[in-house]
Amino acid sequence: MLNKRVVLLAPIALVVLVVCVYAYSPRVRAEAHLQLCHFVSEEHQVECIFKILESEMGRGGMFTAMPVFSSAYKSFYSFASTGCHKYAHRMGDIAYFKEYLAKKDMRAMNFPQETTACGYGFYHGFLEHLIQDNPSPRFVTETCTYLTERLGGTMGSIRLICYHGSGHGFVLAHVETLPSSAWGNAWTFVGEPLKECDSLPGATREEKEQCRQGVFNMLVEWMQLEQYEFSYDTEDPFSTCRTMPERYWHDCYYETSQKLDRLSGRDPVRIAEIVQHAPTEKIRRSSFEVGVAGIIQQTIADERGYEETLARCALLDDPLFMSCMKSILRGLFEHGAPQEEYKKVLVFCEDAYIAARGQTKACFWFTAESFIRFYTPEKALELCTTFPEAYRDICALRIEKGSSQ
Amino acid sequence: MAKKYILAVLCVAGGAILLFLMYSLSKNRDIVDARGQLEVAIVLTEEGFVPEFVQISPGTAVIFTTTRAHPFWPASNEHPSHTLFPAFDPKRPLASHESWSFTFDEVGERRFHDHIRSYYTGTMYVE
Repeated sequence: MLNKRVVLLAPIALVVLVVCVYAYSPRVRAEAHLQLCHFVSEEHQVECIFKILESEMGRGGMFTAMPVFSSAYKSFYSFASTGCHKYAHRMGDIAYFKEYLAKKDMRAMNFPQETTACGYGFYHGFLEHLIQDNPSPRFVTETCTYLTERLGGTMGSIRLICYHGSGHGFVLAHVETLPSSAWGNAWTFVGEPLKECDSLPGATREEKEQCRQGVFNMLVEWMQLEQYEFSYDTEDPFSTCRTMPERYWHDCYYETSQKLDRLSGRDPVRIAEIVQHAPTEKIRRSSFEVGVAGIIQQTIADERGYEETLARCALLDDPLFMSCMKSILRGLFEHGAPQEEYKKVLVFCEDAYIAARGQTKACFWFTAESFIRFYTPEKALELCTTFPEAYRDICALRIEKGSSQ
Repeated sequence: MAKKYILAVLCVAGGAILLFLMYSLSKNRDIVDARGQLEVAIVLTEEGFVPEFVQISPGTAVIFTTTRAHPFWPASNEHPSHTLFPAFDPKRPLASHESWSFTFDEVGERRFHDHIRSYYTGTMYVE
């Protein structure tokens, strides 16, 4: 027979305990709120999640918000399944508004390692608005130099990403000046921003290319969304690219290929057919690779996220199989769980299809390369110990080579 | 008997905690109550949409304008596809001198943004 006092006090004590933990632990509070989003319809879960992320951003900047972003990725299929890049973009939007516009000083902002998640989407979102408001090539160079000096030691691709996001910004700024009579005219939309990319002071060839790809990325988005009187030509997806000056074909084909997953029915064999008439071998190869990586964006959260794609890749000849393998690997990194992208990749590299083609070593080599892009050198070296013993040395070699560059 | 009691305690406590969490999540907003008004004005300023959070009644017409010297494009989340509520989208940028009106007939929470500067956001609570 239970004591009456215990009967009355136990539930009260339990509730008080939980409320105290909640009140004094912001992280617990955020996680508890996040779990509430499981009670809303799947269609509205992302909005529920972003209410919490915005609140966390306001409370403590990216250091408090990004861990919650990572939790959301792992807990919600709706968050991971359609490609987390756009949600990382949105984090960049929020940071620009709540942090940068409030302080007008990037030095006062924090950029945790998780901001590399989802293909550095955070930086695309942040930079596109920063440059939209400051569309000057000189400002871009200064910004990208600053970010590289500050973050380049732990974020291997930050400089290239900065230039890519700046391309977004150039075209967003330019579009605001265009009359409605210009809608639907691709060259009117991208010509001026492309010239700005080409005039970036001190930028390398690769950095200018990233900027130009950022410009074309926006155009392709508007085509797919049918905004500004653009549309994506499903019969001849590269028709717009061929209206561009030849020196821009590669960048245009590259970005247009981001949307081939839908057109191809998520079949790499079909993607190979679509791109076979590309004007050069280089364009054909990179269009194929980008197209396959796009498939992974849509399937990564599924139980057999890459297996079907890899099985179809196995039907292709060796050069295309290698490209396919690299693209799946890239897709797994670009759209994987923040700071845990490597987990699926390590399993992927040991797949029988890859071993059958004698590409296991190459797969682990490319994996080590990707470590530099997303992880600190310390974490990357630690992850090398998770490689099969035969490949640990090449991993360490690749990390050290990347760190010294 | 003790097992049933423990289960009952856990259910009551769990329910209380859930209600507490839901309340604490909802209270962190400065929401303007415009219920009962036939028209509500929301202005996009340099600081964002004003008001940012609004309660309105079904059938209320919301009129969007801007004080910024730039085009604007209020539309439903998610950015950039506007899929959550596709009708809430002028389908084009609005010039800075233009206004755009949309009537919210259905009950629900409608989060929106400026498609051109997607960091400007707001929420309509149609109740």
